[in-house]
Amino acid sequence: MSSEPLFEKVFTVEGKDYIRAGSVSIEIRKILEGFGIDPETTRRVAIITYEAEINIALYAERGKLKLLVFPGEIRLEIKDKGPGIENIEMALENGYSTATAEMRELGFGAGMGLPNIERNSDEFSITSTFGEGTKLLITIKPKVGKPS
Amino acid sequence: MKVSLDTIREWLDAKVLSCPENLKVEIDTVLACDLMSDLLAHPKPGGLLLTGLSNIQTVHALLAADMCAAVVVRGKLPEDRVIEAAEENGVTLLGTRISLFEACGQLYDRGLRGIPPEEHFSHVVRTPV
Amino acid sequence: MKLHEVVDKLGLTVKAGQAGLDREVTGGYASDLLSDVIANAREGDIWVTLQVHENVVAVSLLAKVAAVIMVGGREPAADTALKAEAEGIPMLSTEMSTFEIVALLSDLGIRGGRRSGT
Repeated sequence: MSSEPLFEKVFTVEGKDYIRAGSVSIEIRKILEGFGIDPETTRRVAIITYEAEINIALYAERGKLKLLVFPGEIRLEIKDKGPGIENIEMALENGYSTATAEMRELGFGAGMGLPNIERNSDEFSITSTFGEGTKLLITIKPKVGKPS
Repeated sequence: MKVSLDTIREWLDAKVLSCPENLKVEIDTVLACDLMSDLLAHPKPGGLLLTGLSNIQTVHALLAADMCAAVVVRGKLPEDRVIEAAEENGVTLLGTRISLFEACGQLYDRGLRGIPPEEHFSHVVRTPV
Repeated sequence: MKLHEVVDKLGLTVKAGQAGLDREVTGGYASDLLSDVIANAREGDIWVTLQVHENVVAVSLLAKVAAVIMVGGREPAADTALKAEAEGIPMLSTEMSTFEIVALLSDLGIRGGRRSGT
C-alpha cells in the first residue's frame, strides 16, 4: 500500500455549534462518492464522522477531523481540545452518557456515539487526557472495489 | 412488503414538507427514533424514520445513515432552514400530528415492519484499549 | 389491561417496581425526549423509551405513567432502579426495538392518543 494518500483534507468543528455539527459528514460523503467508494463504506465513514462531530460539539471547545483516502483504505484522525473523557471504558459502553438535560432535549445523549464509531471502524484507537482533549485514530477498509 | 411514501402520507394524514417529487419512493422498513444515535446504530437504506426530532440533526443523521425519508410526528414543524437543508440534500420530510406511538401502531396495522431481530445492534466485543 | 398481563404476554423483564404490576395500563406513549413526555404522556400510559438515567423516574412521576419499558435490551441505570423501586414505578425491559414493542402493545389494544401537537 502506498504511503501517500490519494486525498487529504482537514475539517474543523466548533464546540457548541449544534447547527453545523454533522455537516462535515455530508461533505465527506460527497468526496467519497466522487472517489467511487461503495455505499456501505461511505455510510460507515459518514456515521463515524457524524458521531465524532457531535461529540466535539457537545463536549469539546473545538476539534479537527482529518480525512485521508488511500487505495484500499480510508483513515480518520480526529483530535479535539477540551476536557477529555474521564472514563473511556464507560464511554465505550452503550447507554452511558454525560450529556446534560439541555443536550438531551436537542436529541443527543443516547450514549451510543463512541459505540457507533467503534462498530463501524475496522481499526479504532482512542486516547484521552483529562483536561486536554481526546484523539481518535480510525481505519475503514472498503470491502469491495478501491478508490479510482 | 413495500409501500410508497405517498401511501404512508395518506395513512398518517401527513403533510409533505420537502422533496415532494420523491413520494413514489418505496419503503420496506420502519424505524422509530427520537435520538439520532439510535438511528445510526442500525441504519436502513430504503427505510423510513419516524421521529419527534425536528431540528437539523434529523437531516444530518438521515444522510449519514444513507436514508432519505422521515416522518416528523407530534405536530412538530421543522424550521425553514431544516426544510431547506432537506430540499438541498434530497431528503423527503413528512409531518403528522399524531404521536410516535400511534404512528408506529398504524403502520404496523397496515403491514409494515421494523428491523428484523437478527439485524439488531448487538454489543461490540472490544479489544482492550 | 393490567400491567402484569402486558408483562406476561410480551415477555418483558421486570427490573424494578415489581409491587406496581397490578396497575392498570390505559394507553401508550413512545418518546425519548423528556420534556415531550412531561407535556404529552397521559396518566396510565405505558412509556416506551431508550432512556435509562435517573431523570426517567422523576418524569414518570410527573407524567403519572403506569410503567416504563426500556427498549433494545437496555436496563435502568443503578440509580434509576433504586429510585424506581423507592417510588414503586415498574421499570420493564425488552430486547425489541421501539417500533416492534409499540406494534405488539397496539396488538394488545393499547393505543396512543391523537394529539394536535405544538
